[in-house]
Amino acid sequence: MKTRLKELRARDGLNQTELAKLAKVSRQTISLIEREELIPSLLIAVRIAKIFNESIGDIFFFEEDE
Amino acid sequence: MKKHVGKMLLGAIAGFIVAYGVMHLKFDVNMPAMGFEFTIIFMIITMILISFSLIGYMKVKGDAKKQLVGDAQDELETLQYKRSSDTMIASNTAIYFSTLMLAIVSLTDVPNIFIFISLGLVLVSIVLNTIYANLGKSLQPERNWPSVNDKDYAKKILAISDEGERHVILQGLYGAFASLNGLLLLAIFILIGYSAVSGVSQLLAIFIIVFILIITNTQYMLTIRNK
Repeated sequence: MKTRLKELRARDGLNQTELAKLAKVSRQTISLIEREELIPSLLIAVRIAKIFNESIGDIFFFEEDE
Repeated sequence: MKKHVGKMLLGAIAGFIVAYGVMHLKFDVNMPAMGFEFTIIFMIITMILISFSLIGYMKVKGDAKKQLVGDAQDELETLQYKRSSDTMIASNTAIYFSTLMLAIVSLTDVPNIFIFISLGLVLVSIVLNTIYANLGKSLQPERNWPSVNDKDYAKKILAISDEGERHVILQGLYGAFASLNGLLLLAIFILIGYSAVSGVSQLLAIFIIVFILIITNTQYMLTIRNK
């Protein structure tokens, strides 16, 4: 699964620590999601989508062959 | 699972080769006679580890007060996380080496003063380890950290961890569990070889290791089976 998390963070001027606080998770979790080493749960995906005012599908998406 | 079985087999094969080699080379290490040298070596290693952990602890505590913004804040958090992990590794290793030193001092002909030194090092290592376990509170004071003395400490730590942290913990624990199985199997074969060569039976140690392997593996399999 791919993510635009890093790009959206840069857009809104947030670092990982600040995003983690807003999403009520650890910075480690944000880092893992960003590096595409962890697929977030629906709860975290919804929180992140709300923070960036985007739909979940616009932040987390599958490539053609996935 | 294949990787896990592979590691165990590798441990068994390596242990067999080492044991076979030891038996045929008539390799003889006079452990009791080398007690003093071993004591000094492990004492120095333990002291270095304790010093390293203390330096790491002070750096983590010092940098926890820094107020940074942007990427610098993320970089500091990453560094602090690594430092606190290194501190815990050093402190854990110090406990094991000081315990090993205590064992050598108790079982070999080493001046009595070393019994007190080794006991002191074991105590210092354990106390420091307990203090370091609270490092999380300095780094993330807003979290509801359980007390180190809590009997359900491990369960509560897991409970306050989020999914990313649990993911990392699981990866680490499973890797360590697989290594432990392989290494203990290797230890059994080494002890068999040593017993055969030296004529000093290590059967008690072999019994204990076998029971540890049976208990931990059964505990793990039952946890999976009952979910």
